[in-house]
Amino acid sequence: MTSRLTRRELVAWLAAGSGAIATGSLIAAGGDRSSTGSPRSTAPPSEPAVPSDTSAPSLPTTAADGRIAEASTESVPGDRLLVVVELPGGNDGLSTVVPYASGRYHDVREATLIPEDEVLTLDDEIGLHPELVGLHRDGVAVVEGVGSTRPDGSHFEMQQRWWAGSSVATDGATGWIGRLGDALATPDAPTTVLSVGSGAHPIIRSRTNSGLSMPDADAVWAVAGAEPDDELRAAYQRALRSFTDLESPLRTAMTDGFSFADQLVDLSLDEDDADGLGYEGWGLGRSLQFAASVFTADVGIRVVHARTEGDYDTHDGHAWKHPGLMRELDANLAAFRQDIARRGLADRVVIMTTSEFGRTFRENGSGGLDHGTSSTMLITGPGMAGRHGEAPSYTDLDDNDDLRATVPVESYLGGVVQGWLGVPADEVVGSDHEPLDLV
Amino acid sequence: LGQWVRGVDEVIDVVTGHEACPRHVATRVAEHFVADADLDAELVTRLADRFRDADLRIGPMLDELLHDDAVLHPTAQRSRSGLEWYLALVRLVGADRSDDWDVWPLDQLGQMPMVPPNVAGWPGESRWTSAGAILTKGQMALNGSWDADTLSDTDPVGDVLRRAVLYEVDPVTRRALDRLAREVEGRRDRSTVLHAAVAMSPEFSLT
Repeated sequence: MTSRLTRRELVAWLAAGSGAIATGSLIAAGGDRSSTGSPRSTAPPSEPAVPSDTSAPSLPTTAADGRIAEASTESVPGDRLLVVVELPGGNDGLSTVVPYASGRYHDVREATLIPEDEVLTLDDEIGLHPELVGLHRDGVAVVEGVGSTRPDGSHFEMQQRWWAGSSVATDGATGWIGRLGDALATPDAPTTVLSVGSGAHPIIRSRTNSGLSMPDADAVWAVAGAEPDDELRAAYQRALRSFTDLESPLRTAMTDGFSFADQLVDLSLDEDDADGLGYEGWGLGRSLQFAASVFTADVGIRVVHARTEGDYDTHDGHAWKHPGLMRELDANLAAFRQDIARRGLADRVVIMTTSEFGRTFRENGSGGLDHGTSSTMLITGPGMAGRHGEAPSYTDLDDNDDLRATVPVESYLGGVVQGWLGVPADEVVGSDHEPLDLV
Repeated sequence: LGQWVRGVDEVIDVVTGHEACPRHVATRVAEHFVADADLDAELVTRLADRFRDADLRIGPMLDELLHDDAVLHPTAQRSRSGLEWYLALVRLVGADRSDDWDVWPLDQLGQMPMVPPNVAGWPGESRWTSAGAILTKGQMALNGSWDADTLSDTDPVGDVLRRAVLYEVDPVTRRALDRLAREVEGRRDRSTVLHAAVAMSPEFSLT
């Protein structure tokens, strides 16, 4: 990432016709699922990026089912970018990636059952939710059974664990994306991670305090980019910068913040730019639009965390609430992939989902699902394909009659940061769990 | 602690009788008044000794602490939380307007009332002084100051510092505010920008 493109340069560049989708390989020919034979056949193991703890339990990685596996992965880890989409409330893994061939699924689920003929099949066991059309077309890797082997039913507790990147209770002193930011930081680019939303999200808390949290590019309006004739704002911005001359615990944060704001000032979202891409709503869509702009501006941000507005906590009416959530997710992910493709970034960006837990295996009496344990996560982007981890058993349930997690949180997160970004997993999620082999 | 106890009173006796008790309490008090981290060990020792010597009465220790330079230094090391900073801003620009202020900006500052990350509340330290929090505050400070009460023409900087309850600021801050008062013409604009700037001064965010 050496060149820096201002907003105006970007618009001019796009207008000149260079913004056509740069990588046809990202969206490979769809529909052929026959290339790998059995969907659960084990792929030849690839070499891990760094030595891993051989005493840790091995997690199976199964073969890709086709399509996205052929996508280009020509980018190198040092140039790669990551978007983490959080689905707050606890997303039901079995409604997202449906085990349509399982008799137990049909026995247990009734009001929330998704019929086999509606599922977008991935192999002869599982398929995507009917609303995940874009992901089915573009290709997606699914990671089943992700969660904690010692789960807690509290949103607060499990969100804190996920933000900290831990299967077990933690003091939450730092967040996993914050630690990832520390590992990715360089003297030229100290701020490498961005959480779109709250000004102080725990997930980006780090040892060096180098993460940034903001709702959108408009959030720097007051502190950066005053035109010369805007005397009040210009004077205000000069005063704020002079405070960095003072030795105080705020000095580094002020210096980093104002420096970053100066770089972002040209990025105020121009909605015309995104016309026709299909971004939906003011939540995830706007966040992803901002992420695309930040990546394009090349200001050092390598990881963006965004939360959906939707409430995945479907205690009642799951069958009519969840499809809308899936539709919003799919539409915005599809728009984002189209957006980054026209910006020439498609080969460099992977998107992964997180959610604090899944829903209960069994339905409650309100047509809904209560707080569960493990869930199924999705990863989309170049080279991301197939089934990973191990599907939880639908007969060997835990003491609460619920699904047992088969992939620790650390293995999932570690697999992405190590496999995609080339950052040793132990620097981000510790060394107690082997990272999944995802790339 | 190796002792059998009956009832709460005996538990308290055992805990307060432990040799580590004075230093533990002194550390917690110093963290509250002075700094979230990197406390001056000499200060903590002095406070613990005073607490112990006073037979664990808290008054003498607080007397020692509140007369220490560490507490009175204009840029102390403890940061105001998002909620503390926001409420201070509301008071700065005129408490009688608090009805017009929304609670939702606190979400942007990461401290929505009644919605902590867990039952232990909000962990302190760096999250309130992150780069993202600085940018968010910079936006809120200016947005919130448009309708602030106008300041005196004769000493607008002194006026806004008194409103901010900042009786002593670092010379760097004072110079920045003085320059701002000179640069911005018009009583209304000058009042707006001085309120916003003082809310963004390190002294206002650190207590």
